[in-house]
Amino acid sequence: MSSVLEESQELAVPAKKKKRKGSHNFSGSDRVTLGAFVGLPTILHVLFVWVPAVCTILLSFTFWDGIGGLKNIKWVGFTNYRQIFQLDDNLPIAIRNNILWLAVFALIATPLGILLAYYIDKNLKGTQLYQTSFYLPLVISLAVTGIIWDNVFRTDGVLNALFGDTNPDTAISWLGDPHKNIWVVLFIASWRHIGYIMLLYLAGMKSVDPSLREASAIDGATEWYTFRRVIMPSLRPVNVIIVVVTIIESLRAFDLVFIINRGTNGLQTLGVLVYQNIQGESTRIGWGSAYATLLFLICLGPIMVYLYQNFSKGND
Amino acid sequence: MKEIITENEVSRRSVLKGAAAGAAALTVGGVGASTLGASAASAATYNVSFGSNNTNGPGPEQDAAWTAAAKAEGINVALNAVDHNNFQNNINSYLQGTPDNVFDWFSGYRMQFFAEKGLLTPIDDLWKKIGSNYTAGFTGASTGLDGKKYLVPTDWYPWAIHYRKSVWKKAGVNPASIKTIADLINACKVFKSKGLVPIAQADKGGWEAQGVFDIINMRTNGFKFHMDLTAGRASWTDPRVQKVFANWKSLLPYMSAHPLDLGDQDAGKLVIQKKAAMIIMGSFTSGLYSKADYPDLALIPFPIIAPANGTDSIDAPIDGVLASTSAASNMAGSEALMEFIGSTKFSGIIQAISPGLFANKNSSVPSDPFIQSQVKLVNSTKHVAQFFDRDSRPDFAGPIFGPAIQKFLTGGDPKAIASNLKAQWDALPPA
Amino acid sequence: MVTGKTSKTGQRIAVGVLSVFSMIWVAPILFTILQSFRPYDDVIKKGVMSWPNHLTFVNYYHAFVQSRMWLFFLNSVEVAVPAVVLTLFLASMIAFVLSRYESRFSVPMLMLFTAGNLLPPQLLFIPLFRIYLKIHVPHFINSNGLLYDTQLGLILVHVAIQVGFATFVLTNFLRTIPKEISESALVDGANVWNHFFRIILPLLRPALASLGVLMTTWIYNDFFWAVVLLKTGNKRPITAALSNLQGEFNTDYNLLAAGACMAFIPTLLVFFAMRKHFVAGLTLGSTKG
Repeated sequence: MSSVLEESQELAVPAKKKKRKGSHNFSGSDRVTLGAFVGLPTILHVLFVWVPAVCTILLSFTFWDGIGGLKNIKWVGFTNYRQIFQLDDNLPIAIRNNILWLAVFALIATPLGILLAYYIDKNLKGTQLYQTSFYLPLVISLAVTGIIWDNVFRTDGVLNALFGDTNPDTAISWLGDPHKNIWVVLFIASWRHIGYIMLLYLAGMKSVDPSLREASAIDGATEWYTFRRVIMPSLRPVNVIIVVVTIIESLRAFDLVFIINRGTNGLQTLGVLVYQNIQGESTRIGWGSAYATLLFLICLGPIMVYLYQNFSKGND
Repeated sequence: MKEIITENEVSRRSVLKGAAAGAAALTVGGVGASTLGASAASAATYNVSFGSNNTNGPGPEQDAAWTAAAKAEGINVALNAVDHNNFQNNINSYLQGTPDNVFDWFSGYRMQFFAEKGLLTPIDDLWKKIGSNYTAGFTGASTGLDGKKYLVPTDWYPWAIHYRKSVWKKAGVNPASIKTIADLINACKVFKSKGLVPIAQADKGGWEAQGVFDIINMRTNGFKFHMDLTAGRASWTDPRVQKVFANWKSLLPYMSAHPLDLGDQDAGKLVIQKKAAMIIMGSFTSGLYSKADYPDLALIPFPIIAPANGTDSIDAPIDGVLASTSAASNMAGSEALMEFIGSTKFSGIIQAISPGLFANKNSSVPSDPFIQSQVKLVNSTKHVAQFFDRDSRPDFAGPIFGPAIQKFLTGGDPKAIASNLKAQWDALPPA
Repeated sequence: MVTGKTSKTGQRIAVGVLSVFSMIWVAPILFTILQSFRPYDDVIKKGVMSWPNHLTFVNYYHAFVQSRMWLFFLNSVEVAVPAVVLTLFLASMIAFVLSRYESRFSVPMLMLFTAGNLLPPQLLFIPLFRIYLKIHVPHFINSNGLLYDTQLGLILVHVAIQVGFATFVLTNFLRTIPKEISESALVDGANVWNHFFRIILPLLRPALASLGVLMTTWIYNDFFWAVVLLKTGNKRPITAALSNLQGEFNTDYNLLAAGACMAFIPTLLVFFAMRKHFVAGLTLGSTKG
């Protein structure tokens, strides 16, 4: 770690022109402090996140039932990858579901969250009440969320009762029909996600300098124009977070489908396929790791591109 | 008086098994141990950790009752209760981490698999003492592939058609008249005409309908083929597999239309609520019944499909306790605890809280008709299978076979399903 | 109060949209609360939408006393609070260095942390489990002497993962704060330590407040790590222990509803208590933008 730091201090000066005079004159104790500030979080993060992640990627090239010592691991090259693509008919469904998830979050949930934030920002009567109700799903765990919505969508649940048919054979099968259940799940997931988006945007909007809006209003701009040209541009930091959170949440989707039916029957996601193969009575570490690596690659590609753009622009 | 005798006996064993375990027990030990002092190895207090998968219903009450009784016999049980599903999902890391000495688990390949992997401690010495309490069937089910004993079986339950007598009576269907699958279908037609779901079918969890596959396969192709298929000695592309699906298909119009919506309990409740006429399920479905409804519950064997096979086989899974690798360093205590759990004293305590069938042949069998009908059912069959997910490889039954059956139930093509099953079986890493 | 040019119809639409949505948002929660006060036998006989004959506290009694939900709630607090504090502290330190002492390593480091947070937890589990079985801890922490099956281990995994996201957010936040503030401190001759504790940390307060609330809900609500890293039932947090109420042979949905309410009511209370501070913190932090 310390070598990284020393170099960073030397480089800081020319890179930033002479903006930060004296920043290279670190005392010994400053070096220790900086070393600890960078080192402690990095060690923890690398040891518990990156080391296991790399190990899993390596395991995706092996046969291993996850039991016993490392000597039971058999190197098999790309066999696992070939098998999951050829044999496992869960994979296409999982990929479809992850894409759907991302599409619904990006195209429906996020705009709705922005809309709600925009209305709440108007400080209408009862705005506190509305605001609170949208926050609620966020403080409720997914385990509880599953229980709550199961009451609604079970064949003998609330929704079918409202439709007047809870006969298990004729009522609508919201969670059991593999063509319907993914939409139900996306609705529930959006129930959470919209509140989150709203919260982030609202915080951002509150931060927009009121004088800017007033100036815009005085200039006779329409509400829509003010929103697009004055409010949105100042929300760029919020937008970054939202893009990242939306992608993470949709690609990692796991808890909700797992609670509903253990992620089977039309509710497969990549996260579920990983889990099913690495955890459980029987484990097939090779397949699970191959799915995990796949998920990792899909996640990483677009996000790294996006982050790199963000950071390189953000420096100025 | 009796307690003192037992305690002496237990202490003698601890001496024989070596002082190390006894001393370890004493240092961690409770009040009794410290008052007696370190030299008194005869204190006979064992400290044993026990992993229970019972956190709901009568579970905690049963656990509290039997651990208290064990304590009276000089076995201090450190109970670690985890809910059933999580316990099962995490069994692999549980056994490889720091497992409790003794834990709840199942018989069959589900046990043999872990024994083969070296995650269990054999208990042959204990079996020399308790072996005479069990019939050959239970003894076999407690034996690993290496011929060693691993399980102390506790209780078991058969799978059969379960129904409410009052519902069948009202519909005018006589349970005794159902001899063949044609009779069953005729009865289903009657129930359907009365607005009932004839057969409540669950498969939300992916395991419930495996029992239906089992029984139709055993009735259609016989016990031997079923066991060959589950163990991989027969092929999934064997035409006999298609016969199973074909026979199942003839029942599908009478089963729940959305089985994947229903967990085993949801389906069981449909029978209780008199919305469904029957369910093919393990007798543990009785756990759903209130005291008032329980006398109305009854069962019949699944009817004949191929006359040659009659009704000679059923699924009747056995539950019990196993010793983990950690038991090896606390063998005397672990064996004492397992012996206690296999005893009639234990089964008596559990029986007093909720009725069931126990493996120890000296256990009393409750006189209530439902339990008696379970005994009668098992006595009238020749072959007992465990259950698909206990007879087959765990990496096949759970992640591969379960979803395949779900696919069948949602209109999947049986031929395509079978050939995929074969391809998946062939791709499994060597066990 | 900057509603400005909003027309009357615009306001009506806004109220309409907000009330419809909040009703959809709240109804299932209210329904679950209602279920938690109904006896199970009543529901199983008459169905979930039937009119309740009578309401009862018996489900809460069972969940609280017999199923010991209070114990599991305390477990949750014991994990979530230290994990959040530690995450925020470590992330502030590294965000401070990355934003105030920039170098060509800053962006790659930031990407390492951000990307690390994006990894699916399932990807980490198998090797992490093995690592936890290899790390030894003093016996007062765990009688087995291992990091596996300890609340400390659970805290550390949460910190290791969440520190990625927190670093990302805090670095972004610090970049919006003019460096001049820091520079004046440096001119005054403050060392790195004082620069961080006297100047940066107070500046971060609003961001830490909002991030803290967010992370508390994330960590409190996790059950994946709790279930796979804690084998002892009594150490598990409330979200994981909820499945204790789901029986092997018989699940009482009303008891489950009561347990669910018990799991979310504390977070709700904390949220209501902190909300003013939370929203104020968000607005306070943004005036610098």
